[in-house]
Amino acid sequence: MSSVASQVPFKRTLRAPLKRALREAGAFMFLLPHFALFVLFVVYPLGYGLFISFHRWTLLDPPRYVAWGNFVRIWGDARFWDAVMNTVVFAAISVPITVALGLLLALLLNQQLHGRLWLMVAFVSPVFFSSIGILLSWNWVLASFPAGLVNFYLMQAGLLTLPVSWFGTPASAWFWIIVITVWWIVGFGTLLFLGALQKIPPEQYESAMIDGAGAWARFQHITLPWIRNVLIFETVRQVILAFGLFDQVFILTGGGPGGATRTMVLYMYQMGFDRQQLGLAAAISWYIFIVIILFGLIQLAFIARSVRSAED
Amino acid sequence: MNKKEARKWLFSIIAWGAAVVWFSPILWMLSTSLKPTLVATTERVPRWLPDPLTFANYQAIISPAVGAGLLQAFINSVLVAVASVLLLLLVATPAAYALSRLHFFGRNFIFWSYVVVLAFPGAIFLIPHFLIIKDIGLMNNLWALVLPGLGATFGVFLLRQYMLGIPRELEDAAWVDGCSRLRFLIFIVVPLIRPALGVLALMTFLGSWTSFLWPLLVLSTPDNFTMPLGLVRFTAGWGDPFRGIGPTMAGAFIAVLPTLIIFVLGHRYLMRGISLGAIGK
Amino acid sequence: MNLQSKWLRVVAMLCLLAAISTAAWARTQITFMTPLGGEDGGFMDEIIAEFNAAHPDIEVVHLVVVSSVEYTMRLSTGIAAATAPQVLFIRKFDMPPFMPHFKTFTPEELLGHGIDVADIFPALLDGLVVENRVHGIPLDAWIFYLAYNRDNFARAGLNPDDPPANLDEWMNAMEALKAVTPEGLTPYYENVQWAWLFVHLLWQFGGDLLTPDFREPAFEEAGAKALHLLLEMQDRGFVPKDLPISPGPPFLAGDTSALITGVWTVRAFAEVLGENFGVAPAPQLGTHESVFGGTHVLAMPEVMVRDPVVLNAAMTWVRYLWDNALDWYAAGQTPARISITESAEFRERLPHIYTIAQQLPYVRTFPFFPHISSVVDEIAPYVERALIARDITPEEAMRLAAEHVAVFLEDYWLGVE
Repeated sequence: MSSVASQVPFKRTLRAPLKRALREAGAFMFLLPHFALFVLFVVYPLGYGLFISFHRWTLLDPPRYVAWGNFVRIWGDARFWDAVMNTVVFAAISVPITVALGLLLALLLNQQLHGRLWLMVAFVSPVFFSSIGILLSWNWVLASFPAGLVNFYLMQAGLLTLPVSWFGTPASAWFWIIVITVWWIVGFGTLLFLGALQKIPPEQYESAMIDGAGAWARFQHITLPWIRNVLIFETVRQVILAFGLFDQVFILTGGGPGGATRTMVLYMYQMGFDRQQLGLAAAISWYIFIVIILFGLIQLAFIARSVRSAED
Repeated sequence: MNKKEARKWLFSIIAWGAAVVWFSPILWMLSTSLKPTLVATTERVPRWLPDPLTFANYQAIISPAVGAGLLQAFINSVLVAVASVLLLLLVATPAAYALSRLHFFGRNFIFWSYVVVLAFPGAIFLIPHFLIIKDIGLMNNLWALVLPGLGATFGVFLLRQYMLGIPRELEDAAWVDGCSRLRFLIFIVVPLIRPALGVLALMTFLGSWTSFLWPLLVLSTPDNFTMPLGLVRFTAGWGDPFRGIGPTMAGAFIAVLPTLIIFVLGHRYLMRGISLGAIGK
Repeated sequence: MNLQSKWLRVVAMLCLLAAISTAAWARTQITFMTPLGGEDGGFMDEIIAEFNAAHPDIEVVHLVVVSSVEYTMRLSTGIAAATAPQVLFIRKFDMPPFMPHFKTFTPEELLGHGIDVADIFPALLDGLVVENRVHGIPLDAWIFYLAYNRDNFARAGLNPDDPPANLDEWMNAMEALKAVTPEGLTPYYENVQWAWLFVHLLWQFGGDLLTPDFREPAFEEAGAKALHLLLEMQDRGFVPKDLPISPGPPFLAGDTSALITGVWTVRAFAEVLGENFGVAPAPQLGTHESVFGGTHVLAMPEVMVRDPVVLNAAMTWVRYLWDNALDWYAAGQTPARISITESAEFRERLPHIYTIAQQLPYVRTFPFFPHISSVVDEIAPYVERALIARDITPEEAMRLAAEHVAVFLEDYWLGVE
């Protein structure tokens, strides 16, 4: 009996780390298929991109090593910094609007409504449309001659006397780019928030109302904690999307007027792919990465803190 | 009617009013596509209901493109999109589970690297993917349209966030019952995150369906082409509206229609999934 | 039958159809990549269908890629991986980076295939013949012309059969047309900062984008003159002061009266305006006789036509286009061939385009410099500022633009040498 008792602790201490390692390996197996694809199709290309960013290369000629040349060139280009500023300002304005509007629409659609399914189609489906279809449509809606939809109705309402070319000034162009972007992408967030809102048990609200909590208090203390994960995800997603703004400026304004709507990705296209300078494009993509990480972290910290303070 | 009914009607009216205005650009697109270009560009008052209603714009697009060529492209697009969705869900779900609920060395580092790479503009992957596919020997092969997208991390990120919402008590209860991690994943987690799976499936399907530049770079024989390669000429005329705003809008609507149909059919499933997903905290 | 087996039959039928359509036909397949979107693509489709019907051993497949960036990306990846299309219909200004990779012929070899390069307008061939080797065959020319509304001209007291041909006539006509133009529009309603219009005027004032050796910008002086002309037209109410996006619809509606625009608009305008549609050579508003143009060139990546069977098939297609070009010109292009331009058949079949094509002897195209469109992009913001924002003078705008272009050129030459 004593021999058995003395043996058991020994076995346990030897087996435990081995068992844990096996468990962890087993856990990693779940990740492995995707991770392998991730390494092959994401990590390796990015590493390759970094390598290429130190070269001048057009795909048809042999690469030429230029060390930091590409990076220096971009750092010194005023248009790059303009593009950064444009993108940052756009993100700073459009992300809060999109996230807030997504939540608002989700709250609205969470109510008892007639024909809720079709309302969802109207608000949410645009996010699943391809950019070309949407942007061509909006371009036509904003057409600058008197029968253009927006011009026509504004003139009818007496707010305008002559038709306006909506992409003619930077302010107006940015206004519509923001409107169109929000219109386009808010649906996905609405869907996510709706899914999260539906998980909240109604008893929580009922008991809060019995306790005499007002609508804002209910929102703060019940809704927010439940949707916190989704809120963070949605914010991160929107920040990344905003910094990747390309299609709208490419199709609607071409970066104009005078480069005022040129974003970082459009800059990368014009400097890199237009001129087939792949090394330059790769260098720009690394700059974009750094900018997004910096601002993404800032925005994320801000959101996380404000959500936490709202909950408390 | 009682207060609740009145409230429902009030909210509905507001919501519907907003929804109609919200959706109007698409309605205007449809309306323009049913007018002759001449009318669409010269009418002085915008008419929502086309007076000479015509399908000529749609005919102009569909008839030259009809033939074995477009059917083949349609089939290719379907195969690629379906394969992309199935395989992505197949690899992303366990990956998300591992990153949300399991423990292994380097888990957090890997998760944050998954998030961080989302900060790279998608265009930068084109040429490296092209070179990889060339080296693997999958040029001009439909698998080249499926595989690179499987490494994407957005889907894993999305599913992981949803899985975080699954309460630990469920997991502990299953563990006590002797349920293996795999069975827990398949039989408990997956049904609970159905809305997220549905959304991800839809997004992946549509991303694959509308992808143009990547198939353009890797496919070279027409038998392998996908739909966007065949239809691009009708959606690329954004320069001069008067040169054919009718067919342009018709092409845009054709591009939008499958999405709309899938969404209308699929979102009922989504809504059901969303309400069934209600569980205690 | 139940639903399941019905679906099975549908699937089986689809698979069978797929199999049939992919069956090997022992036809040489030629992929023909063009940038022709919209109805232009439709015209080319018909020509291709006729060719395929007449040539059972060759199948030409039409691949349309409209955007220049995507087109050149497809071409460079295709050349790198030997998966490029066999025959290209490429905008000439996209060609320079690929010059070492095209299949070349001597003029004599081309004559053997039935193609006479001496019959092509020299300005269009400019840059394509290097050391007596031809790198591509221009098939057409898109060229500017004057489109005008005859009815409006008459109502303004002008002779619709005698449209303005020089600066004075033009300015007088504009002034008269203001009386028949509704409020909020101008007689010549166009994007004044349209880059191609700027280049058109630049050439008419004797300047060019670059010096012949491509080392320096050459547009400062003439560019300023062009901008001054546009400013004057703005101030006198002939052209808009801000940015209209859609010049076409008001012209089609008869509200605006004149457009200096490309020949590709002829079909649409003729269809809508009918008898009212006036066509004339673009007025010479400057000191040097010239008109803006560009060309689509037939070229072949050398790596894709090494197989003699493929080369033969490709040349058969090229020859067919060369011979049947009139079918293509009907889409709204002028011929690249001198003999066609002067032919009676052309005049009878396409009278409007015939009138426009008479400008071809003095057409000019972009300098044959790689990424010339990037040079134009460097200038564009300053044109916008001078004309729309008006916060700098034309001289200042051109000076700044020249500085930026000089940087671009320096960077390019540094990379090459």
